[in-house]
Amino acid sequence: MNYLAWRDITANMLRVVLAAAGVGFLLTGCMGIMGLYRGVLHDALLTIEDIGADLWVVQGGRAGPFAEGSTVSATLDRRVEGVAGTANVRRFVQNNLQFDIDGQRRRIAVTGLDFPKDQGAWLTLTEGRLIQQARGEAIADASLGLALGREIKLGRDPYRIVGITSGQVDMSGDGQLFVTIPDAMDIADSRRSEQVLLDRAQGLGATADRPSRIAAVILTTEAGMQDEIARTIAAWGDVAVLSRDDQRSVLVDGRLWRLRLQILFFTILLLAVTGVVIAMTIYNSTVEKLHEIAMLKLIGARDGFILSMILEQAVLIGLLAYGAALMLALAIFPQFPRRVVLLPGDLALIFGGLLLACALGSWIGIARAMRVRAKEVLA
Amino acid sequence: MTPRAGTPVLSVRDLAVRYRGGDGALVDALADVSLDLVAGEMLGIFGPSGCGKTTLLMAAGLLETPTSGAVRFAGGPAVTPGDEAALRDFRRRHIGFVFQKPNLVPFLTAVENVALAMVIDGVAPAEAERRAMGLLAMLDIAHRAGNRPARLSGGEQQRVAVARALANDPMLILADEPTAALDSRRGRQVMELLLAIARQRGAAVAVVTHDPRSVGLFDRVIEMEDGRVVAERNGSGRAA
Repeated sequence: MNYLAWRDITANMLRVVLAAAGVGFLLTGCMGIMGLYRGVLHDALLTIEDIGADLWVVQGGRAGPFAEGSTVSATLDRRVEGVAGTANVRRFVQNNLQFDIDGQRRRIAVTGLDFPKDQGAWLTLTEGRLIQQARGEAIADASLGLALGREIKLGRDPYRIVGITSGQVDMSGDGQLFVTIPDAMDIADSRRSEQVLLDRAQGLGATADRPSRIAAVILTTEAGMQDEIARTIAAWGDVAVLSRDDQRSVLVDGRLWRLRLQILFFTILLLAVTGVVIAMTIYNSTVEKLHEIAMLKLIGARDGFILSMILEQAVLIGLLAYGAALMLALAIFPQFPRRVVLLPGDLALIFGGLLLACALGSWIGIARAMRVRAKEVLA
Repeated sequence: MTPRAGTPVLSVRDLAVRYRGGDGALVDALADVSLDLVAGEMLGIFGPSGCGKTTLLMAAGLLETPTSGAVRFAGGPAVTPGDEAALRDFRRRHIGFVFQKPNLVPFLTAVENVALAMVIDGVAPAEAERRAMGLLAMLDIAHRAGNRPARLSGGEQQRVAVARALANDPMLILADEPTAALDSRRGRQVMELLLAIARQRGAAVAVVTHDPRSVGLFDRVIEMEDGRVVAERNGSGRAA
């Protein structure tokens, strides 16, 4: 390292630490906002990626069930099963509901599993077991705070927590609770006694005539059959067919594109502010040393020596800031209510942006230093 | 670059520095100044404020581009202005500077300040600091080597500045009012130090000063007025 740069840093450690802390907080913000976006994306795609469906059959003219509402016939799965080349057909339902649990209002994404074909084997359990009964059992995400073995009342019926997942949330960040399809429909259809009486007075039964709550039918296909099955089902007219890639695209390029754009702007803004802070820090530090720089020129220091002194300080502040930001991010982001995903690619991007900001920032200081004339030492 | 015997270390011929003043009129900061300075000689440059002493020193030190005239070192060709990097390389290797203010780097210790002049010439830091300690010892200030300038007295700081000027074993030392900020005793010590350097190391030393008490230390004295050398006489330095 440059002989002067290191000694200047050690002599002014407090200034360097404060500058690195300021830049570090800004970088933590950059990491946080990019991580939050990645987290939202991860959560949004979690079910699509894990549930093991090649095709999603949804309400006609819709791109549901995640990007917009979708309701299909409760018996659509039987029609789909009749299409040649289908391998595994399941119904899918998910409703975001609020319940009072332990005196607190909690949001839960209630997701139906088409038991017994689907017992939740695609979920990664941290505790407990899969669903083994058609009624009254649930697998809860740890974020809901429901302990294994606990019984909770959702709607009119009690449910026992038999398994616990971790990080299984929906796009909104609500923890998911997995129950069988009939239980999910009951929970969604839960009506107060007064509502039941009113429905009866109108000639509607207590449970009959209720609308379908099935959002979609999902299926896997035999090898090479996916496109043909999609064309066949789409030709029915009353439903739409989306592949896994279609679902990803609908979410990423449709529902989340504004968020992506906004996060991109915020990231650029934060990196610009970081660059300005670094530039100011380096420029001020350079201006403080103009007399010494004139002296260096007088005793014959080459421009490269002065340049490396300024640049190395800028890079060191940047590296310290980046290290501090990374440690802070790893320490506090797991405590955030929403998932924050730090991808190596994003961290590398921020690091690259930081180096660029350091280079640009120090360029201003270097440009000022280069204008200093040796004889100014006599001024 | 070592001057041949009898060849001046510094040779200034018909040097003129002219600039345009605030009212647009041309001002002669230096006019037709010629002088030679040989190895081991200590020259005193006297004169009232604004007479061109410092301008002469700056032109001789390649810090000021002369309007006309030539500056030669050790019988070499006239140094041409323009290539700042080349001038800087020449200064680094062949010229040492001492000023009224020591101009030490405040965040470096005394030994580091001296070593810096060698480090920028490519000497490894450890070796540079070892040599710097030798110079500080020669100037009787090694015991303060680990102190930053703020913890040194004015005289001590000036000694460190002299040590820095000697760092690359220059053939020419240019000193501008090196004792102005010191009391008479310490001022005398610094002048004696410069004379000893001229004698022991064979360097040519030019000192700009107002201090008449040091006249007796110089081998030769020139008096300047209005940018010209108006008088030249031998001092008594050789007898000192």
